Amino acid sequence: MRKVWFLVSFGALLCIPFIPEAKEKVKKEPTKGEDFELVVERYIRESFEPVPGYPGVNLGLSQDYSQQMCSKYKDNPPEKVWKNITELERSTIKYPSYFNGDWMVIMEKGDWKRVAPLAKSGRGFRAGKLQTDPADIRAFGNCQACHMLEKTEVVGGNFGPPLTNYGKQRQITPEVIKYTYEKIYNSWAYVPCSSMPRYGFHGLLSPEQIADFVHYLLSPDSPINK
Amino acid sequence: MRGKVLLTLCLLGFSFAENQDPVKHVQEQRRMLRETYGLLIEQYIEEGKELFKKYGLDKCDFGAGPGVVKGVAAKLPRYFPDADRVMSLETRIYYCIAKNRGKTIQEVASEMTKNWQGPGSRPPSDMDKISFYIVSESRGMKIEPSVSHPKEKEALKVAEAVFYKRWGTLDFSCAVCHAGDGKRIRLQQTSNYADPYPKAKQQDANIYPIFRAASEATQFFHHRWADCLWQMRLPTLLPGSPLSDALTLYVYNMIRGKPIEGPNVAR
Repeated sequence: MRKVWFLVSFGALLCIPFIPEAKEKVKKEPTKGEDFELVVERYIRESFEPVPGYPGVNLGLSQDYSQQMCSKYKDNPPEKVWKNITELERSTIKYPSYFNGDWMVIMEKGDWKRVAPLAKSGRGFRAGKLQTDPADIRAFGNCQACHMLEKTEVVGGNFGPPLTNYGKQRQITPEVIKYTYEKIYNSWAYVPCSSMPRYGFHGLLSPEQIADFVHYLLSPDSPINK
Repeated sequence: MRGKVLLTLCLLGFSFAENQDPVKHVQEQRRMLRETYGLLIEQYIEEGKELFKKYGLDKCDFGAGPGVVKGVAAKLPRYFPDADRVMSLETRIYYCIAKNRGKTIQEVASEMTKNWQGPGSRPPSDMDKISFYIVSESRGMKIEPSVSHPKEKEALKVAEAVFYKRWGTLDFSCAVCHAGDGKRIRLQQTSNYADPYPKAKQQDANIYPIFRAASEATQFFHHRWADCLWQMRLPTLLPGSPLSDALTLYVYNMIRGKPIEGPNVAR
């Protein structure tokens, strides 16, 4: 069997000089390095149908620096890249219009009632052949897909830690409020390549809505802590 | 890190055991669903057998010679020299119908997937029923797609890169949800395609095509991939496209050796 393969491949090699462009093709065998990235790009280009009028969806096919690095290192970037990502992502964080430097203000101005339904809804920002979400849904939370939320509910994913009693389990200090806010705004500022979407960075939630979510997690009146 | 994750999962398991075990709940639900919807699936298979002839697929070569369907689903996707590309069962069906009608794969695929949609009930299409029939002829057979041709190797490598690609406004990749066992989105278990069978325990691609009871809708792989990418807020992944087939090859390669249990019912 081996002999046959040897003969076949030897025969094929002999033919190469006589096939026009064959040399070229052998050289361009798309397997490694940059060439391979072009192959991936070609597959993507030939496989997706852009959705007219939804630039956010169409732009999703291209990646920013952090997404590229997370893909390259399969969500396990080396220390140097880790540092680059956290610094870059930290610089993107914006704060609510009423923020005055005192983190406690979020506990006064934030209101969990405004965002509680968002924590459980997975709708918004989807478009294309399958279905297009109503354009007036301009915010996306869907915390429940990955986190356990209220004590009374069995439904809840386990990709992230349970958030039941999040506020009861810690003191409401400026540090805790800051961490909670920034983690929701841009989780990669703390843990690059975390599964959690960068909600504020991508505009899935406004700074004010993120502050409301901080209130949702920490307030003693919130269903999270009941 | 792994220890921490295991400990968290363990504690989570205990907290569920106190109230209600969602995983057990889902398993029991599946068993009941099979009893409820088994007959409906058999009916779709019978209808698919008729449609198979109606669409002239009895002359189509699925890899074992013209018109042969026994066992072919277990050996796909693979490279087809006549089309010079890797094709899954779905694309091969589109290809043969396109050839009969003098159309392109993309035209036929688009026409035959008009009933695609997100959540919600919808009647099965001719395509769904045809695939139900063909896969039913491979039940119990071990999955072993071909990965030796350079184009098969290329597709596999591309799909792996895409599997780990973080993109879209949710920063997701396939791997975010489909790596590791014991994971759930809400109550729905997610399959693990970062590890090959039998190392990965939680994998159910071998039950496709499915009748999804929650939405009362049929679904095969290309629709499943498009569904995932739509949830990831990406544009529409086209049926019959090279990436759809590459992803199918990747997933089937990860469950190599598992017997086909499709078509089946899923929650």
